[in-house]
Amino acid sequence: MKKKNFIRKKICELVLRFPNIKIVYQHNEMSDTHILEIKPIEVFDLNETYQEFETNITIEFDEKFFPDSILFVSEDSLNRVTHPEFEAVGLMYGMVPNVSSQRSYHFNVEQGEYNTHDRKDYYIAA
Amino acid sequence: MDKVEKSAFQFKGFQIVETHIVKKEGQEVSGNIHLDFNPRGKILKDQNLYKILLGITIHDDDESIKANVEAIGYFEFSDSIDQDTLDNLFYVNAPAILFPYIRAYISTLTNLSGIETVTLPTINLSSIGGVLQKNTTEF
Repeated sequence: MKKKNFIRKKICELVLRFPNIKIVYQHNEMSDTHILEIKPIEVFDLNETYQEFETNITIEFDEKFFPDSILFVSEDSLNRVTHPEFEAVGLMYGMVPNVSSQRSYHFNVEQGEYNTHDRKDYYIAA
Repeated sequence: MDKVEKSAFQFKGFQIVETHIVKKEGQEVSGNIHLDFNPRGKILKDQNLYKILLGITIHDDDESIKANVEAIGYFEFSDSIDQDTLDNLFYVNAPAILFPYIRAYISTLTNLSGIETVTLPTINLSSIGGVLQKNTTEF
């Protein structure tokens, strides 16, 4: 029970600190693994502050509850939460575009060549 | 302190006059974005006003995303400017001034559309000057 209370407390802390995430939790009794599924994947994969929190929780959990283990997963993982026991949704989940999800594109300009030289003749204007 | 002189060519503002975006459901935007420009202009000599209409179309290889944005930029010019300088201001400077606004608009538009943000690169538009000049009419 102590383990689950610890995890619930940490989940609440996480959604308060990162209001654009959703966390679902399930305990796998066969392996004594506590699985936390984090969405969206961009926060899970790219947000370094979140990753630091995750690491600290894992270390604290291991220190307190070994041999039980805690496992953080996201949408691309083979281990998914299928029967959530607990769920917490940040206030801004799904509302805030993830700036970190920007990707790079290759641009083809259709007419002519636009990148030829660096003219700065617009200084006269405005 | 010296008095700041009013510029002989002034950007008075812009308006987005047309936006059309199509995103095919379930299809990812490919990494290759095609970019096309359609510049037109109007010189209202009696009002000393120049209007540039810059249309930008973007689409990816599979046309899973296609967006068309048209914006008008308004410029005021002084009678004192000679024709060569004026041509340069109309056909080189004006699109360069207007383009960043459309670029920012497309970024916001794609970002708020639930797809990954398309941020157009900074482009030197001096070579659309010829097309713009051809598509500019004087009133």
